Amino acid sequence: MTTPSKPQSPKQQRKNTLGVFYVLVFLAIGTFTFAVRASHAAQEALIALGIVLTGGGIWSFLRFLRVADTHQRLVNHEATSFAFVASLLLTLVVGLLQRFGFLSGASLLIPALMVALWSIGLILFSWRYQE
Amino acid sequence: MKTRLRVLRAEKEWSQADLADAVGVTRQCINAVETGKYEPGLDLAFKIARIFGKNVEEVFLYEESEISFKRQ
Repeated sequence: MTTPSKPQSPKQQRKNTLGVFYVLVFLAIGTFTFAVRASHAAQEALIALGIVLTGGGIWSFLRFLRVADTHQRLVNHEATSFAFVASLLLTLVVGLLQRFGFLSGASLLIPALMVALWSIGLILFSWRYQE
Repeated sequence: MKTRLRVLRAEKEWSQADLADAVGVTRQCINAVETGKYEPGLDLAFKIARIFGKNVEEVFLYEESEISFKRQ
């Protein structure tokens, strides 16, 4: 049995960049959550750290898109659309509930929710292309 | 669009993962192309054809009905 020559497999690179993206985004969300409850002195440092982590998250996401193949980009596009629409609807519902005095501080969870919805979208739309 | 990818791959005894690594895409991508759920772009189509030493038309079959439909 012969196997095709392997020039440069970007598989591990894709996994790594996606892993780094998740770590940085959830660290950023955690940092911003702590910043809200921290003292004034610590708040500025935590917000600065959160911004750096967010920047790192965006960088790793762009890097993931660069190393992703066309099929993965299509799945990602569908997942992003799904997360966008779902977040929009949920944000409207949360906004409405907040008007009536429910769910105060829930807006902090929106970035986490968007990432979670995007991840669900990735899984759902990847399944769609399976046998 | 139809593809002879699965047949060609079986002739060479390559797994989907072997082919995916060779052309630099995921195994899921090769699977989606084989099952007709995803139509590859020109770049990937040429890469796959080159790996098998064939022309694109020998790997991917564009049906006449699709051409006449698009001309209408």
